[in-house]
Amino acid sequence: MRVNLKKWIRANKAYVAIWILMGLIVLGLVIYELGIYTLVVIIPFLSLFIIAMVRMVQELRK
Amino acid sequence: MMIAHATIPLILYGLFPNHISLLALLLGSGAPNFDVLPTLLRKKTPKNALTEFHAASVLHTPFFYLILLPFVYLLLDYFTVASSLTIAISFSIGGILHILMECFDEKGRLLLYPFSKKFYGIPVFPYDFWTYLTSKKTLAIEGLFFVIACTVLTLRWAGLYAGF
Repeated sequence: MRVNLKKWIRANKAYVAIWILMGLIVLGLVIYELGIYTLVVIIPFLSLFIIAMVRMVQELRK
Repeated sequence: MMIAHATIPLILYGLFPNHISLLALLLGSGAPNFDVLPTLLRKKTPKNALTEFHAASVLHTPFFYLILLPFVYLLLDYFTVASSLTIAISFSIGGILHILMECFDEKGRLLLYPFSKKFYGIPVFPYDFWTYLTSKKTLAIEGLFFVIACTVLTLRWAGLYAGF
């Protein structure tokens, strides 16, 4: 599905807020359990995350 | 899908903390998604998201993690890593768990690969990313597992539950 990201975020800000909140709490739980080793989980996927974010910014600028 | 990546592994770890390596479990549950790269780098969004490469490669098959298991174990054992068997099993469980959770989307997964190239699953969740984020049913199920994960870990930290 194609979306206009700006419009989509504005129309679904409650959903976006809930997902971000849940994501941050889960990240907190992982950090609490693993400590510094959380980086071992995050680093392999960092490149994919950066590419996804760059694509998202490109979509937003369109 | 947060349940496939983090909440189910956290619940599993909360229930069996002495038998599972959380680090390996989370790495395993993230490993299938390395096949998302061609999807991220594509120039055009396909009309039908179900036809994309992501979730249709060997990385999204239980077979891959079963084959990988002895190799991960032998590699870790060679470098005399402590609890190498636990780490290898946790990694494979993470990968397989991810695939089993994702079976509940519209696309299904290649569960019987290499014996069958058919996608199997129960279509509970939408596959499309944007629809997934705004589905009330999805949010309710994800939220339920999120609450269970928080509860299990909080009980353990509070010393009310020691785990199996």
